[in-house]
Amino acid sequence: MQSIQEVQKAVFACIDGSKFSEAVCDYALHIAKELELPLVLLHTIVHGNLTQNIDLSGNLILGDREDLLDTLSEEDAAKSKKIRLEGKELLKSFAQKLQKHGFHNFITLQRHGTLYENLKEFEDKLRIVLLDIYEVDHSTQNIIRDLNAPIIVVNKEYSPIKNIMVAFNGVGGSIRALEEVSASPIFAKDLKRYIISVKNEKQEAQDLIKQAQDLIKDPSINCEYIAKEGEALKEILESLEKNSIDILAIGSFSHGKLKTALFGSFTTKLICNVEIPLIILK
Amino acid sequence: MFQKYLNKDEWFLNIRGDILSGLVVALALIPEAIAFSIIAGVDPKVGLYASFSMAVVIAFMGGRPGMISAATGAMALLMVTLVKEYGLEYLLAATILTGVIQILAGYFKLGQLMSFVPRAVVVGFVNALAILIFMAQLPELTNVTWHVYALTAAGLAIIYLFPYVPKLGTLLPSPLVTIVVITLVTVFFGIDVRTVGDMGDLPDTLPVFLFPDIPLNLETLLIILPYSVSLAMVGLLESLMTATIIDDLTDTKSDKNQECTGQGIANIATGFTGGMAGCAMIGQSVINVKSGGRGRLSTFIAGLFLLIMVVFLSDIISVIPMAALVAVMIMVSIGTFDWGSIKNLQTLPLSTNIVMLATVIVVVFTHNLALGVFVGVLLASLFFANKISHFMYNESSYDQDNDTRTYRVVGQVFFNSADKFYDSFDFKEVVENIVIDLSKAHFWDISAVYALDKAVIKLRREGANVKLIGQNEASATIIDRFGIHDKPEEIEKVMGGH
Repeated sequence: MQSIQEVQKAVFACIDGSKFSEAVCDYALHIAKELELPLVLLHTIVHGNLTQNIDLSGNLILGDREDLLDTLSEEDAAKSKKIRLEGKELLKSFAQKLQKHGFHNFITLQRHGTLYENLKEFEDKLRIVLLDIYEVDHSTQNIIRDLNAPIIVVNKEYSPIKNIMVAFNGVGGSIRALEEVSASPIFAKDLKRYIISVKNEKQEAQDLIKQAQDLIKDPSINCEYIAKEGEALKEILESLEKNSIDILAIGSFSHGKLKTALFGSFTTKLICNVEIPLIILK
Repeated sequence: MFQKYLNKDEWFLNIRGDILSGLVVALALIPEAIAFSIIAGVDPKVGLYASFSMAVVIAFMGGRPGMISAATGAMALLMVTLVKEYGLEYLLAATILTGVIQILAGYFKLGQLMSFVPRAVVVGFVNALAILIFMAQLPELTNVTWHVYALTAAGLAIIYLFPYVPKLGTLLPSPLVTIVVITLVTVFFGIDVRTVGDMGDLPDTLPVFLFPDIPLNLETLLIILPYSVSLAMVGLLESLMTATIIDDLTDTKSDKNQECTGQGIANIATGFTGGMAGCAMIGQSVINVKSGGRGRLSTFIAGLFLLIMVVFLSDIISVIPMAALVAVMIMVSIGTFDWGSIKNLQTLPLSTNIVMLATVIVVVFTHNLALGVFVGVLLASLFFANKISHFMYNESSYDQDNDTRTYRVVGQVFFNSADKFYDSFDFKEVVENIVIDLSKAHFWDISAVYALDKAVIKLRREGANVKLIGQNEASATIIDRFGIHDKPEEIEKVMGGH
């Protein structure tokens, strides 16, 4: 086992002990094998600064600041210790699991701070990041928004990836999604690919499909193109179900931050509604 | 941009704790706003509007969630002469200009300059502030009847003993209990003591936007500028120090430059709503953390609740005896004081203690925290220079065969050690060759270069062949730029031993 400093590029599996941590590990194992890269099992100890010690007496005595610092530090220390031990156990059990599958090119890593801070620190080492859907909340949204690496959101137990659907809307993120899916070794070459475009007008959707066909240069790839008219979220969800898709690829948030803050992004809506893992590309 | 100010995590992660602590803090804001409005020579409403506006604006714009900003004693003490000589309108204009200066400070990232303020100065600042807050209460305690002393003592007793009452003690803020009990006692027994209502106007409406009624010309600017500069400096110093204290207490980070800009925006808003300049407050911020406040919501609630209380309950507030507020302010003073620093006096080096005490003394005599910090930083720098100058010596050896004296200079040569460096040469010695080995020396400034030049020239005048060897890169740069003697032929770029 090497140290994180020596790792050039790796698959990062973020483990927090919530429902699908095991599945995160399984998907990560699969992808790390495909990419022939090391796997990093990352557990972060988030320091919430909330406290149970609430004293509403509103008074201050001599030396109160020092006492308060002591009280709060002790409380945090106890919490951190507990999470650290739990994390250690978790990492140990996943490490054993990886070894049982005959995979040894991995390291386990425990870090203080938020997941975002830590991933940002290792940004140049990230080949792909896997998260549990339960780790995705408003505070981890910036992981999806501005981490420069593909992210897989795992929201169900592991099942082998036999096909993939790309939601294509012709702009930034989704073009790269298409490129990654058609060219990258993350997905086996013989994997069945579906490209879907949804627009209000059928014609527009077909134009997009044409654009997508131009982008995929390799004719040997097994692709099926779907042009739909209607509401994007609904049509995509229907197509996923109909074709029993295993993973959905999309481009990342493309709206302005303000618009996203006010109306929620399409990506967020997909994350909340889709029942299969989602790979988000930048 | 808006995302930055509406970060959900910083606002809504601790709703219950923030609301409760905000309410507790509001109670500790009122006495300070009233007490220091009086000291600044304006109506209490000027301080109360300021506290509302500072707290609410900084809740959005500040760089340190959970820190409390409002009208403060440190700032009020700087305004006294401005108000006395020119009146309230000039104070409002000065407040706006203070904000502009602080925004510029944030823009130019002057928050980083805090690294030049040593720990001893920070401690001195905090202690001086505590003493100033206490001293500001003295006018309320001189030339008064014994009733005032009795009420103040009773107030302090309630503040410190009430928390020991089972259950209720940690649920009801003891400053509130104090204010209510003392007020009821004076009203019930008809004790004739000074009340808040006697001190001037209280807010009767919500604050409104108004432009300070002053002539807009250079003369006005020159009147308010010196005040604004001091206000801006003291405001930022106290805010950044408080931010550091809250960072430490909660083990989180804050954006110091955003805090500078935020303080600026808050002061501009405050000036336009008829309030006096303010900044972050150490005592109240610590109370906030102690009461479980962590997010921006706590600051917002403190400001909002304060306004609701003073506007809608102004009749009740006006009968609160000043003695009750004095008791609360004495508590704030005690809580602001860095008690650990007194215990550490014995263990810390003398120079550190001198810096701390000098800061305190200068502030207490000038009532200007900026001056105290200036003196403290200056003293600390001199002590530092003095310490570093000890890290220099010049060892020499003599080679009889070649009649050569070799000097090896080791350590830091700069303005403070330059004379010592010069004196370390033996100019009386008659010798053919002199080698000065600088490979273990650092030449920091032109004082050092000048001393070296002087020594080399003197030695050459005496007829010796002087050769310099082994300048390190730092020395070489300086010598290259300023030196007048021969350029060294060999420059050892690598510094051994340093």
